[in-house]
Amino acid sequence: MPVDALTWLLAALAALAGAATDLGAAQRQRRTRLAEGLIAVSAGAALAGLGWRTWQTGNWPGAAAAEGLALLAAAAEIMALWPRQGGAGSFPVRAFAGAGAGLLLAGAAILGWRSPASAASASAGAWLFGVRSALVGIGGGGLLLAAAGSVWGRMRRPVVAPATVAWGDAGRAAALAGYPWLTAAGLASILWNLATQAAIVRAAPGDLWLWAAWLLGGVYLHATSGWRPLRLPGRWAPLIAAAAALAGLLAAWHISSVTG
Amino acid sequence: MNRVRVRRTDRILDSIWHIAAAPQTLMALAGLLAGTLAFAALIPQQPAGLDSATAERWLAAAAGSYRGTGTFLRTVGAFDLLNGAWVRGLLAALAFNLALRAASQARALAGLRRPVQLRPAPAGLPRQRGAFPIPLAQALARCEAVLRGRGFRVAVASDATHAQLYAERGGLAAAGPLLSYLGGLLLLTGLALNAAGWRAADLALAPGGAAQLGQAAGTQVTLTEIADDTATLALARGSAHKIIRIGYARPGHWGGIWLTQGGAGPALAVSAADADQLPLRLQSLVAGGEEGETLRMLFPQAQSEQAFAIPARNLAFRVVSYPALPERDITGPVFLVEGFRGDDPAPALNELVAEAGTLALDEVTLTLRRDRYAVIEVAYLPGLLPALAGALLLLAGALLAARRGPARLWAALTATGETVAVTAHAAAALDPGAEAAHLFAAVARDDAGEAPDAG
Repeated sequence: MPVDALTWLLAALAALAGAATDLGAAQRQRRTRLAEGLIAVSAGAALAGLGWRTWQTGNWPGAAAAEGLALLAAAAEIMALWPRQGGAGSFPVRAFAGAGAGLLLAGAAILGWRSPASAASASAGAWLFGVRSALVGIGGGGLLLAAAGSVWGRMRRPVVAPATVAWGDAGRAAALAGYPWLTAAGLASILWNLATQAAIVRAAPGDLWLWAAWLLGGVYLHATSGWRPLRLPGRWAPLIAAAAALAGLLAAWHISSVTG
Repeated sequence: MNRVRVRRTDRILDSIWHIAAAPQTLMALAGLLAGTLAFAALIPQQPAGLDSATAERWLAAAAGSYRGTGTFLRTVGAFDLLNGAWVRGLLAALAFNLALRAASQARALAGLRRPVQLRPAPAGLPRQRGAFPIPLAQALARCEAVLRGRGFRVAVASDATHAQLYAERGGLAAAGPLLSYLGGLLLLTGLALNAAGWRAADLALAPGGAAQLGQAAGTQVTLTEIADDTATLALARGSAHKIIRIGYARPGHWGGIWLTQGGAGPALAVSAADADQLPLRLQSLVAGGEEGETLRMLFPQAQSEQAFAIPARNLAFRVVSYPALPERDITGPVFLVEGFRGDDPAPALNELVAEAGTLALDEVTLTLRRDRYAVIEVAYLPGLLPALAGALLLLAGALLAARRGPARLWAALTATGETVAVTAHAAAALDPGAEAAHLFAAVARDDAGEAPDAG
């Protein structure tokens, strides 16, 4: 098994163990540092796998679907550990995000095993491509965390006023943290297309999913704004957040479609 | 009667205006656009800049891969969704909504600068209640102090048993949504302007090769040199000209005309002469291929074989490009050249040429020289600057909106015996619950108050 795939497999196991520890702690209503440590180890291992690939191929991370998934998972884990953004400080949310990141890293390990890192290509060697990939990963990770928070918030407590989203949504803090990164990814995507295709937007799946995720992220932020409650049914917020996270995930999955 | 009709018309127009400007409309349009982009991501989309014949072939192949539904998908324009009427209509509606939202947001921002006055809380806001064993005046003072400390401007009215409080905070973050709406509008404007531009895709040029950009009023682009992954291009239009160097991910531009290098590959320059050293005319056997005293044959990855003829001598040649021929101990790229006389299928010439060479057949001397070609993308993007400015504004808006933003807070304090009951409504872009929590924490400070409850 290649070193990068092995590292991602270990990262996946650490993330899943962290998620299980967090869920156990949630049931006992007790915080634990062990889960934080495991998720931090997982994020570190995910980044180490990406670093190994970069060193081996000379490519910036993101030239393959496995790298896109690992980037997104690592970003979600780091944001989950961030005190102000970590699913609004709720450790069951971190468990959700950790489980999702673990599954993504397992997918990255399988993909990395089946298609080992290839030699440097002109596109993946360009720094702007690396910036674009990293921004997609961070923004997508924020959406994953937002979806985890929103779903958990919906499960945790009945909405106070059934017809409205009360006091915002549990995933909103993570979405607000991740959205500027996703917007920056859109800007980097424009610059990348201009540099390689003399175009602003392309019909490549990697670009289309990125803009779909960005639009859905904006819809979610509008829907959960506490400035002017929009009287949406409470279940809509988790649905929109989940759709945005799925689109962000697919943007990372198809990240290599914009290399050519 | 007329006045009634006018009022009814006004009401209808007002309703249409409110619906068009509503945030829900923005959400619906953005959701529809996201769904459309997702659909387009699942179905292959026609590359931009194809000529009509190539586009037709591409569409036929794409429709063929979907068997029964291919014809339907092609008929409804699913393979060119992003340039279709549906997406254009959605973008136009979105631009209209964004313009109205920007105006509405600008008015709201201006409102945040006016002196604060007591006002009733709008319906639908969540509220929080609590009771505290302190005098009304003390509770009110604590409320005012904490709100002013958090950047609110406060208006208060009170009597012996009741107090009403309204607080408002603007700040830089309040401009976030306005910047986002303006940014989206600029981005859409840029896209609309670019639709009036043009694109010449996949121009494959070997050194010395030129292409006329018909869309650009007689502009000609000539590849003068390609070395170290850098292509040197000469652009000319009338008496104006410019030399531009481009490489992969290193674009160049001449005014609004952008040029990028999409790829590169091996090429072979061929010329022929007779026994008296007079040049012979060559004819490429590729459909639509060039004819002249010098041929520049390109070998893209998907086409490693080319053919040409010398009609005056009834000779034909086949050239195959190989990255290497290990069975002949050749580790570098090489061309295999075969020559044929008339209809004879047996090759009369079979030679390998690595970098350059001279071959002879029937008193004809071929001169061959390895070269490289570059694939150039050329596009006129009149909307580039508005689009880039729009994307930057969107980023600024998103960054500002993630800060502690504008907030409004309404509180009613009622003294009942020894306690004060506090009911608060909060509206905040970031976290209204946190704003209300700060208020209650301040009132409860140093005193054992009942735990506030949401309700």
